[in-house]
Amino acid sequence: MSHPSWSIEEATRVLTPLKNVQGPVLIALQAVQERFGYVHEEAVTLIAETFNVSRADVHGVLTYYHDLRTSPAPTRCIQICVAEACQSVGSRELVAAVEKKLGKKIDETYADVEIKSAYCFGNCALGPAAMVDGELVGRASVEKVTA
Amino acid sequence: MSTIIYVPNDSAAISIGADQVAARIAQEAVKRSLDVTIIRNGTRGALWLETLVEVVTPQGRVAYGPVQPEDVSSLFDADFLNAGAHPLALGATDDIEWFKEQDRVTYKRVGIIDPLSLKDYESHGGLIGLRKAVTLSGAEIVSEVTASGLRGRGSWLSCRN
Repeated sequence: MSHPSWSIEEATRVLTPLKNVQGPVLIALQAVQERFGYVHEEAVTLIAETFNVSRADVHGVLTYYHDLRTSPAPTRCIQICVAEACQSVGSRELVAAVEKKLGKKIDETYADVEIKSAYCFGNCALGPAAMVDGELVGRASVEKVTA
Repeated sequence: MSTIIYVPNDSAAISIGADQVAARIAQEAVKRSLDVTIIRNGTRGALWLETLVEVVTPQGRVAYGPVQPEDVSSLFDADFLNAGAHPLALGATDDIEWFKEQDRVTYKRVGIIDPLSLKDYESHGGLIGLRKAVTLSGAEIVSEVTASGLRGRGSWLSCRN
């Protein structure tokens, strides 16, 4: 996954086709994140001005959804479900083992590999569930998520 | 004659390697010069048996599962295309206890048919209602719906009137 570095001009191009979208804030934030890998702080003002909403509205949506990030994307993102069903089949142990193997802490920001907690991918029957760079992994193990 | 093999394309099945299983089956078949057609169906819902591989044999559909990509070559060795014995063999899919006890309505065709084949859909009762509807007048359709007792469909009557 490679993304261009942040630029207002490119962001404006990304937002232009969304001009007539109803309830555009979340869609705009997702579009910016898809393009740049994260939402730069200047995007908040840009989206607010483009869609005539307050910066507080944009900030509210941006901080509500954990999938939206405000720092550049790591090279690899490992999300591990820590909700009840996956905890009951060992996701806490999985998190501990992945943290140990990679030498990283869950939910902290790194440039290379990040481990993020998540709450349910809907794959409870095949837990522990994880998502590696957007791909769902069932019966997740240290080997599978760090492969 | 090409042997039909079903490998689920459901996201849960994919999360534990269904794509790799399908790819390995295709590779092995080429390597062994066997004619197979892989159909990616929906999951039949027994997720603990995923990847559930089904083979269409003259005796009907037989199941193997849970199949991991590394099991594929041994399935071919065991002649699974002709329902051969294998530690992962589950016998006829319809005879699996968990399925036998179910009476599916909405999910009736999921896992059974090729979801992209209209012919398959039709041979399992698809389009019957629609074909009948086109022969009826608007008033007849409205009265059928009313007679069925379906809730939340009253607005069609008001639209018509």
